Amino acid sequence: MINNKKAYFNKVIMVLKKVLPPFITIFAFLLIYFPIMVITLLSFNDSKKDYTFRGFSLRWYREILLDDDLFLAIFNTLTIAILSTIIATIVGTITAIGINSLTKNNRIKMMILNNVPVINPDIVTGISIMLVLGLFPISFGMKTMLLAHVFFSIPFVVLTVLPKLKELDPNLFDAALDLGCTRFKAIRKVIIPSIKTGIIGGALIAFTMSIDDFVISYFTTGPAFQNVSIYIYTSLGRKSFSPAVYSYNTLVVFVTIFTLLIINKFNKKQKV
Amino acid sequence: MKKIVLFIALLTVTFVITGCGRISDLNREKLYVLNWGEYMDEDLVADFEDEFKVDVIYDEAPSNEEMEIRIKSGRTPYDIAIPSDYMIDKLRQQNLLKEIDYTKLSSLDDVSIKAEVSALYENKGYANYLVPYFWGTIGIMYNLDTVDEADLTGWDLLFENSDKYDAGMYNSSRDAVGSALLYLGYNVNSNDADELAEAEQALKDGNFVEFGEDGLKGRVIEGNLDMALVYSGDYFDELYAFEEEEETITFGYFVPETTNVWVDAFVIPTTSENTDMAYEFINYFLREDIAEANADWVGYAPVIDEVYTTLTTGEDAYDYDNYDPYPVGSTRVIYEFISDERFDKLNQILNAVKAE
Amino acid sequence: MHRLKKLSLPYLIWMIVLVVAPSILILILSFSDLDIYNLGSFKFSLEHVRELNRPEIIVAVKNSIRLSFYATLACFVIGYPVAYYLANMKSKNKTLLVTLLIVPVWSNMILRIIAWEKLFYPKSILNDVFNLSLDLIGKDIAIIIGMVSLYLPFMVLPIYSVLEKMDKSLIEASKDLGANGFVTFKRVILPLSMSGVVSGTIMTLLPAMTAFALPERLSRGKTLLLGNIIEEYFVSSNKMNLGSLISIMLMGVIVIMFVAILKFDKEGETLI
Repeated sequence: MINNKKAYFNKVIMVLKKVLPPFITIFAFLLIYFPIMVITLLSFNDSKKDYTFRGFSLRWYREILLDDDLFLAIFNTLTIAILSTIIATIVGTITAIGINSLTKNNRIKMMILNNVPVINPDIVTGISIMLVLGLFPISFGMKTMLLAHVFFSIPFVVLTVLPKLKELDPNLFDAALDLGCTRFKAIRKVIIPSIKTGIIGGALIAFTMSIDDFVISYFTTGPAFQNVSIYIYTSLGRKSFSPAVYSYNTLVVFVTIFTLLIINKFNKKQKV
Repeated sequence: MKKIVLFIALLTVTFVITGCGRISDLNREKLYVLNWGEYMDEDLVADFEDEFKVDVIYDEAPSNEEMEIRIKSGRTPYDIAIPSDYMIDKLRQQNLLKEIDYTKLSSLDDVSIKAEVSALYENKGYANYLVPYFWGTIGIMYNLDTVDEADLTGWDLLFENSDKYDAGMYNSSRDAVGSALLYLGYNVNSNDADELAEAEQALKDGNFVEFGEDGLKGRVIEGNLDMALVYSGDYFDELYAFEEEEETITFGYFVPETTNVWVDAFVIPTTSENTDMAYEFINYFLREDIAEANADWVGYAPVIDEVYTTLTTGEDAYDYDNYDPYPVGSTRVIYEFISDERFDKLNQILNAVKAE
Repeated sequence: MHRLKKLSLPYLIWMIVLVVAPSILILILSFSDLDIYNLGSFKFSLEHVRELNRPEIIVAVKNSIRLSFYATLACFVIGYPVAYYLANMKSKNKTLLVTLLIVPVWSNMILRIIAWEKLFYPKSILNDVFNLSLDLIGKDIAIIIGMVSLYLPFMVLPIYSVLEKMDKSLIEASKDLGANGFVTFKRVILPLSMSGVVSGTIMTLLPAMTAFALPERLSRGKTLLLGNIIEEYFVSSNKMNLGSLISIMLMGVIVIMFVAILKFDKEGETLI
């Protein structure tokens, strides 16, 4: 009798082990994608009111180009994201190379400084930068937002590049120097190619952090310079809010998914 | 070599992009204006720029407090700001405003500010520091389908019906406590500890289900709220939007007999560097034709007598019940700035109410 | 490679200006009556420390701890099985699936928050399209669901990374030594995946504790978290000094958490 119960219990566990994880995974995906699905639905809604569904329409997709405020916000978001990613990646990589060459104690001190923006809550970072920049006689706007984005992106680049640098054989650099390379050439030809994946990874993270930022941008922007998040937050509930922003978001998501699928197919073909 | 070229290219791109805005600034004067969102016809501003050969750098703030912060921080040298009554009072008390020389406003020879408007602030300390812009009331926006007309009796509509209706309160401590004080029959600027305690209790007993700002009017329309405290401007924004789309209007605006009236006005902060042009800007918007066009665009009640008369008579007259913020026979009160401590107390009251 | 260490110098200066200086400024603001707009003389005082017992702050702390705890717990309970399932998947599309999990993070966060907000109201687009009405707005559960939807990828990813790289032979060895699945999990897999769990927990707990847009929108403006209080003090109620003090204390709590983690994770390559 006892053995039967135990066997039954084990069997239940076996079934659960097989069935539960996929179920939970599907549930997780649904939970994460639910708002995206609703946004997609709203992007096709033939009505400005988002509590009723009037029918299918592509009008909001056209509206992305027509609504000046939204278009400007999108342009600003992309400009800041691209610029801050480029700057942060270059500076971050160079800095990581520098940090990697420090003595252990100095390296730890630098990393503590480096990690402050990473662990600080957005709101504290945003306010800190706002306070410090407020001491200088500069007007807030695109430049201050760009500075803030570069500021919070560089640490991530450093964190992604540094591990790759550690894996590098330090003798290779010295060997290159011995063979007559200048330091710049040695960096370019020896170090950079080996840490390429780290650099790309860091750039990707920097881009992601920048494109979606709200809180830090909110505190460091100036007259009439909005990114998409600020546009949404400030125009919600007012006449100036355009459902075209749902269309923009839907496009971003689907283009990204599409690109990933293509890369995935490409990678699979390569392996074969 | 390649690296140097790349570096220079990058630098150039950066400078070009960040310098892009500079191309227009080369020769023109600048005028910095700070206003609420959607509160001035942009075409009229563009016309002003053409007429006076200036670049108007137009900045928006969502609240009086943010306007104050921006003016105080000095990051932008605003020439014009358009805050509300109590904030004008506060800014003046902090010596942040320039006194207005009304003789420089030639338009005032041809038009006059409504007597009811000037009467509101004429004996107050800030009377000579502003030129009124628009005015309105606070009241209760309600869903026509769910709210019984018989209940539209007074402030008790908002404070005594929590078992019947879902009500929203504005997320502004001054207006929340102010409306409670009005409900209790007290002075809207009261700083009496007992009266404020009663107001806090009234707000808690009101069982407000939502605290919001611009979102409240949408909720009433959707039906996710039965009513909410709003500004007259909120109501009119929706009213005009519905009329334009030719939709059935499912919401109403009820103004109790005694309520707060707000007056937004032009002020010239001490940060202003282009004060002469600031006067031109104010003067421009006082011109009868411009004021009329602007009042038509914004939709709120104009402060200029002649413009008000024009807009409320004739064919396409503004003929709405609540368009006139100060109808004959009603009682209207205006906010004053008492002290930072009082404002802190109001904020604490609102936060305590939310915590319930 | 020591000759390269000077490359990190510019960054040091940058960080001193943007991290150390604001921290000092915030410290001064916290413990004095310095007026940020009228930088002049100031007196040190502990007045703001006394203000910390304001009811609204106590309520906000309780809300932050309560909601972030539940949200993080939910993320862990859902996230670990998902990470485990994905890590052990034998499909060629494994990385694709994991990346798909992160895609929504690239779509605008504010928009996703608003999508949830709209769904939780009784009158919403769900009425028309699915004949459904969710009346969860304003309730804690709405905030928790929103947080989980937003932060789940941050919990899954670190755990997945660690599980994926785990040496499978350890599991085999455990089984060879006679342990059943459950014991293997408890004694081998779970401990080895701890660093991932810790990373995931931090990346969920911190944003949850300090969020402000999410709780504001999903609680109908009623439930205030620390992020909301800080924002209010800096933007609407002009209590920058008190806001600074709260920020400093928040940073202090986070630093303590990190130090505790570093002690726990001795080899800790997590952030240094």
